[in-house]
Amino acid sequence: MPLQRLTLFFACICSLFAQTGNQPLFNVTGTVVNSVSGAPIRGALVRLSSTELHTTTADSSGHFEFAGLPSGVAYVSAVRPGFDSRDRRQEQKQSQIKIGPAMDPLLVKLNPLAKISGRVVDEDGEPIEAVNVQSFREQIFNGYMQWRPGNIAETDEAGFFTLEDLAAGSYQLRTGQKRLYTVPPTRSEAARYIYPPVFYPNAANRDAAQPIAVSPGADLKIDFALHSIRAARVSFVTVPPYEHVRAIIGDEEGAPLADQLPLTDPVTGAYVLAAVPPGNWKLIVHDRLSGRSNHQETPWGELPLEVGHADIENLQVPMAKLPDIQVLTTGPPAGSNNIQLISAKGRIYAATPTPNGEMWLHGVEPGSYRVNAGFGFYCFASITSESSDLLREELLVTPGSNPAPIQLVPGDNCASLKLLPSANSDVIVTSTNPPGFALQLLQVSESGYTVTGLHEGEYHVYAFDDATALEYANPAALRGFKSQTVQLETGQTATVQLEVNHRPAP
Amino acid sequence: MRIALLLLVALFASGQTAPSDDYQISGVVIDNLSKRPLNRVLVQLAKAGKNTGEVTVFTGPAGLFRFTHVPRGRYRLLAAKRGGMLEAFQAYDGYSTAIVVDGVQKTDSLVFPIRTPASISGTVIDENGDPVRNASIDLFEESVVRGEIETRMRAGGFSTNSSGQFHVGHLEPGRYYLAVQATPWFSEGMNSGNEVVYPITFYGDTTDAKSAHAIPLAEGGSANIQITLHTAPGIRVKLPPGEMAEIGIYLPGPGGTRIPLNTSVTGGQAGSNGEFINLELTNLPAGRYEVTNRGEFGTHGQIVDLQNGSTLPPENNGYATISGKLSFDGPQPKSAIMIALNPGLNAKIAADGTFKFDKAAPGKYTLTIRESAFLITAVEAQGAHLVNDSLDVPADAAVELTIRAVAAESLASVEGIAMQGKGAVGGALVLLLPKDAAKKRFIRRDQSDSDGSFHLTNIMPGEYTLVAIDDGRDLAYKTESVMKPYLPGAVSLKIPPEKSAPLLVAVQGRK
Repeated sequence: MPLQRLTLFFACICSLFAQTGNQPLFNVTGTVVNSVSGAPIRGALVRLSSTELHTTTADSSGHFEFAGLPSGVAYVSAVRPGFDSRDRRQEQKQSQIKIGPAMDPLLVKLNPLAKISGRVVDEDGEPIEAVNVQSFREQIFNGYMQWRPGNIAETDEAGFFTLEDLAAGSYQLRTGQKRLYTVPPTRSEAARYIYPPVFYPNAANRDAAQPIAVSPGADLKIDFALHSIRAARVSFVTVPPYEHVRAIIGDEEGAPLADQLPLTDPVTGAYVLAAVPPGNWKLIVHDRLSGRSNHQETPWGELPLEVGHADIENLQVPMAKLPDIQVLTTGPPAGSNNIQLISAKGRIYAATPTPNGEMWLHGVEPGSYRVNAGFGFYCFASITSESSDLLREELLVTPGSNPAPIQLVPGDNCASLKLLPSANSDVIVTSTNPPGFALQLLQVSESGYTVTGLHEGEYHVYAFDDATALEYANPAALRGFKSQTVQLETGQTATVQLEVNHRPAP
Repeated sequence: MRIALLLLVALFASGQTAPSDDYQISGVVIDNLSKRPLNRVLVQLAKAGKNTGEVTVFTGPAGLFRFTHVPRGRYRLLAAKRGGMLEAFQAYDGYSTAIVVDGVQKTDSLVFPIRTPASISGTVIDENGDPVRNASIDLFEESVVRGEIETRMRAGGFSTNSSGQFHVGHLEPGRYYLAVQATPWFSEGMNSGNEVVYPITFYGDTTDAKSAHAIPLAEGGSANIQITLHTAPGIRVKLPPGEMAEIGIYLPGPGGTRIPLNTSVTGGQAGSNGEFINLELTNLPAGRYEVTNRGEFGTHGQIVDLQNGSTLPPENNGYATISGKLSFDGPQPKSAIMIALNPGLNAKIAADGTFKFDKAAPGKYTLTIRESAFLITAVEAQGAHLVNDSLDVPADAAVELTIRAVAAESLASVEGIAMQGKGAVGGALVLLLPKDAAKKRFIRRDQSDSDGSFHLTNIMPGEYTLVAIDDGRDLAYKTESVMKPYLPGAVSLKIPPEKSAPLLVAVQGRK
C-alpha cells in the first residue's frame, strides 16, 4: 500500500539538550495535529531524516520525540491514512528544521482528505447499480488549468457511491454511460436504453457542469437522478478495413465520453456502437492492437458525429497511419528525452532513438503541439519544421498528414539565468515571443539557482511565495504580478534579483 | 424519454396464421420477497434451445407482461430488472422451467418471481479500533451445488475503503465465511521493512480457518459484521538463488479451500550468472504454510514451517507420477477429452486414452472429467487411495488410474411427467437415483417444464428410483440420508424401461 505524503507546517523550531562525549546531542519533540480541527493525530508515523532516517509513532496525544540527535539540518515529515499534502512543494519548503540548542516543540499539521458520497437513482427513484462516478479536479498541467481525471467510484446495488481521499480543490463529477439492461448488445432493442453520461448536477457537458468546492476534511453528499433515454445505434466500417479496432466517442475537444471495443454485427460485418446518446460528438477509431507503442503503425480515423434519435448505419471512417516525425539534429545528438511534443490537452510525445541512431516521435495524434527542447545541458539556435519556427510557433499535426522532420540546430553557446529571489519561492520563467514558450516552474531557495541551456531572447521571470493553482502558461494569469524582464544574448549569464509576489492561498 | 411501458409484440408472425397457433404467454413479474410487482422489467421469450430470435417486452407499473400470437412450442422465458442480469424462469443450479404452449397448459397468468440477492457488509478495524483500509476480503460460499455441499472461494477482489468498510452484494442464500488480508499502513514506512504484519484473520476474529464463524444468509438477507486485526511480528524468508515472485504461499481456508497469501518479494541483486540472489519473502508472520514452487502455481505444494531467517527449500520434494487410461465400452467419442486433478493439474487425454502427470505434489486431488457425450462408469486407482473421485496421493508414489466409460449412444433416456393429483407440475426437481447409492455418478437430474415434462439422458442401464420434489432447490440429493424421506413416495424402475410410454411421477413436498 503506497503511503501518502503529508503536508508539514511548522509553527516553530525547538529542542532539549543532551551530550555524549564531546558531541552535544539534542531531542526533537513535537505534536501532529489535524490542520482543520487542531485535534491531535494519534498513531501518525513521523520520520526525521538527517544523516540517517529515524521513525517514530505519535502517541495518543499526537506527541512524538526523537532523542539523541546531533545538531544540523534535518527534514521531518509525518504520514497517516486519511491525511494528505495540499501541495508537495509546500511540504518540501517547510519541512526543513535545524537541530540545535533552544528548540521549541514542533507542530506538524496534516491536511485531512475529503470525501464525496451520494446516491444515483433513476427517474422512478430506483437505485442504479454499477454506475461509474468519475471525479475531475481542477489542476495545473503544463502550465494550463485543466480538469484532470481523478478517483472513480462505482455504485453498489443500493445506488450508493463514495469518492475517497480527495485533496481539497474544485471538482466536477460525471456519471458514466450505463445500460439499463445487461443483454447482448448488437441488435437487441433493450441494449439501446441507457442512462447517458451526466455532469453534476444534470449537465450534458463540462461547460454546464457545476463545480464542487471541496475543503480539507469535507464530507459532502452529492446525489444524481438519471433519466434513461433510447440512444441511437451507430455502425461503421473502416476504410481500408481493419480488424479489432477501438472506438472513442468524444466531445468536440476529444475528451472521451466512452471508450469501447465496438462489436461486430454478425450480419453485416460492420462495427457497432450499440447506444450513442444524442449530441455532437467526435468518433475516433484506432487500431487497439498497435497499442501506440514505438515502431508500430497506428491506424487512426476520426469523424464528426451528429447523433439524434435515428440510427446511423454504415459510416465510412477513412483510416490513415498516425504520422511518425523524425527529429534531425546537426552536430552532437541531443539525447533521447530532451525533445518533447506537448499539447495543451496534456498529451506528451518524447523522441526516442532507433537502433541506427535516428530520433523519431512515433504515432503523433492530430493536434497542436509545443516543442519542448533545449533545457538542461542543451540549447538550440533554431528548431524548425519546413518554414515553421518551432521556437515561436506550435507544430500543427493534421489527420493523414506527413509532417516534415523537425530540424534542431544546436546553439554554440547557451545562455543562463541566475535566479536570486528574496525568499524561498516558486519561480516562473517564460519567454516573451510568443508568450507561453520556454516555460519553467522552479522551486528556488533564497540561495539561488541557475537555469542553463537557454537560447537568446527576451524572458519574463516571476517569483511567488506559492504558485499553487497558478495557470502560468496563460499570460492573463500572470498579468499584474511583479516580474523581471531580461534580454539574453548568446552565451550570456544574467543575474535576476526577484521580489516575491504574494498570492492568497487558493 | 421513458421506455414504453408495455410493448405488445406479434411473435413469430410469418407463416403463423392458423388460429390454433395463436396463443399468448403473459403474467406478472414480482419481487420474490416483497411480492410487489416490478416496473420496467425486460422480459424475453425465445424458442427453447435457440440463442436467437428472442422477442422482448417491458413490464408496466403493475409488473404485467404479455406476448401474443405465440405458436405452439417450448419456450425459454427470461427477465432482467433494470441493471440486472437476465435470469430464466425458476432458474436454479443450471436448470430452469421452460414454458410449454400446447393449447392445454394455461400460459396467461404466469408469476415470474425475481429473487432478491443477499449481502454482507462489514468493517475491519485494528487493535486500536482504527479502520483498516485497503484490506482484501476473501469470501467463501458454502452452498449446495449439483446435489452436494461445496465450499468455494468467490472471485471478486473486494476490499475495504478508507473507513475500513466493505460491502459484498449479489449473494445467493447460503453460508459464508470471510477472511481478511491486510498490511499495516505504517509497516512500509518503518526503517527496515515490514516487521509488523496482520495474519490472515477470519470472521470470528480467529486466524484458524477451523474456528471461523459462518455467516448464514437467506434470500435478500444482509449481515453486518466486524473483524479485528491484530499485528504480529513479520518474518523474512530467504529465497533460493534464481527464484522470483512466482512462489505461491497458501494457508488452509474453510471447507478445504486454500487461500493464497499476498506476500511480497523484496531486495535482490544480480548474481555472477545474472540470476537474482538475496531475495526475501516478506509480509507474512511465522507459521506453517503450503508452498508451491515456480511454475506450479495453483498445485499442491510442500508444507513448510517458516520462521524469520528461514530459507525456502529450493525444490518440492516427493513428487508422484499419475498416469492412467480411459477406456470405452463401445465407440469412443471423437471430441477431445480433458482430465483434471484439482488443484492445478490438467491434461488432454490422448487418442489412445492414456494420460500422464509427471510432477504431482503429494496431497488430495479431485478427479474431474467433463462428460459431454459419455458417462464414466468406473474409476480405480493403484498407488493412491480413491474415495468418490477424491484421490489421496502419497509422496513419491507411482499412481495408476483405470477409468472406464460408456459412450452416449449406448446409454438410455427416460421421459415423463411430474404430477400432483391430476395436474402437471412445472419447476419440480426430478431425480433418478441408482438403487446402489454408492454409484453417485449415475444420478440423473432434470427440472420439469411448465407442462410437467422432464427428460433424463445418458442413463446407465440398471435399477433406479425416480423422485420428484416440489421446491427441491438446494437439496443435497447426493447424500443418502437427505433422500431417505422421499423414497417411500418414489417410483422404482428398471432402465431401460419395459414400456416406452412416459413415466408419471408424483411430486412430493419438501421434507
